[in-house]
Amino acid sequence: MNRVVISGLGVVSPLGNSSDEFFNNLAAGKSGIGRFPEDFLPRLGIRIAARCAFDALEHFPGTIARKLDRVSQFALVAATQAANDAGLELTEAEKRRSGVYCGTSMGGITTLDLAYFQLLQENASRVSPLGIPMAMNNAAASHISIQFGLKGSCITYSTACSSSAIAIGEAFRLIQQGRAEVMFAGGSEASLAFGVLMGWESLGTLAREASDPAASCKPFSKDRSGFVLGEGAAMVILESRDRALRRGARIHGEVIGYCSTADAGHITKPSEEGLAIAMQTALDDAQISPDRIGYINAHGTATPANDVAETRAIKNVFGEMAYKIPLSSTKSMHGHLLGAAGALEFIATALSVQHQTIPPTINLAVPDPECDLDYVPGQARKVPGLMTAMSNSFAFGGTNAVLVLNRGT
Amino acid sequence: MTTLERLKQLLFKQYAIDGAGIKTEAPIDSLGLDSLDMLDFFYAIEKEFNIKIPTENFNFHSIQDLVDLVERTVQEQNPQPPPNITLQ
Repeated sequence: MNRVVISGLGVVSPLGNSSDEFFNNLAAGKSGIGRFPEDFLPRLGIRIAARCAFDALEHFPGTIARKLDRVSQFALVAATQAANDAGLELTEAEKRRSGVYCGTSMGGITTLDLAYFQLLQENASRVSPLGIPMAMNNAAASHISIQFGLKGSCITYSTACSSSAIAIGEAFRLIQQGRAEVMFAGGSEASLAFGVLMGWESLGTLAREASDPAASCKPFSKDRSGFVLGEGAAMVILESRDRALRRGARIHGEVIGYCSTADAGHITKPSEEGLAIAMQTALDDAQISPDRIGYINAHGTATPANDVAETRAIKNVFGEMAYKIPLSSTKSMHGHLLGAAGALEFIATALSVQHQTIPPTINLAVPDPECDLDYVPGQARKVPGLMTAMSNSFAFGGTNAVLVLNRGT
Repeated sequence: MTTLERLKQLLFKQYAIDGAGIKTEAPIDSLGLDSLDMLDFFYAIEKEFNIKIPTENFNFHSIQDLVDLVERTVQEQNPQPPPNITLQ
């Protein structure tokens, strides 16, 4: 079995379009959440989101950009960053054994949204022939495979909010078992489309807008009311530790444990038992005892249901130790990136360990007796010696993914 | 603007193809567009000229054939009033 390391990071996020900028903003407790422009979609009741400052024409010629849905644009930019960060050079033989695992929840939904608008609102007699190849969920992964000439496994995972954590975990397995040379793994989401925003609003899981939009998402706070939708992409390069050491790559961290489990409960309601099983299974996979975990990047959606269930599940797994382990919800700052959330938070977790700094949960102002753990409220915390951390990703549908990583050596 | 000039504008806008090098007698393949781009180009043409080209007519050889097809379809579906007539 190979040891598996992270040798490259790429981020397009509401908190900046590089992994450094992203982590600096996290550690500074900054929020990427804001209001849509005033004239945006007046029929929506909730008009806040965590949007990326992203101009496709800075990254692609116009002739290429017009053929890529925003979700693929994000994915390609994040993948390119990750490949550059890793200093990746693959021979043709290696490319045949390298691939892409990418998670997305809604794929090219804005392209679909536009096509339906043209069909139903404008009575269009034809829609763009690029619509299907732009909107299909696997477009982002395939564009990465095409750009980098990767001819190994290229698979898109769609398990709602755990999609990209699953993608990273499954890529970890491939490298671990020696079935791939190098994997691009992560996720992308660009679903701030009218129908999607309206759908989430109807579901009642979105945060009510606070007088300061940046203060709207309040994980683990008694006055929490839900999450803020975000967009972006996060990609990592995974390879065996031996390979990375051989080529002198900088190692951002080592993946040591992963599991995917299913709640087999309710389509939207998280199961306390299911979340606990997921965390315990990941610890077992990593072959470590719970006391080794120095930080948990929580799923922390700030919905009333998630935060209580996750808190209880952590107590079930970690017992009395749960009170001593700092955990935080970085969603309070970057919003909920759905299919890209797991990968973005996995990168946040790796950088927390690398920088020995735990980013805070912001906007946690009102204690909730049911959420009584150490959520690192308000300000980042320096934790010298932080070695091992866990990143939780849970999802509608009940597919949970937990990743465990070590500081890279 | 002639039909050819409008087509050249579209080719430049969508595929950065320089119209100066385009010869009307050249085969359509000389544009270097793949099959997906060709469908996309047709879609753009339909919007530009406010026409719908029946799929069975997607069958021609040269760039001049394409110009003729567009002009014929415009005549059938979307005839413009002659420019010298002032509507009262």
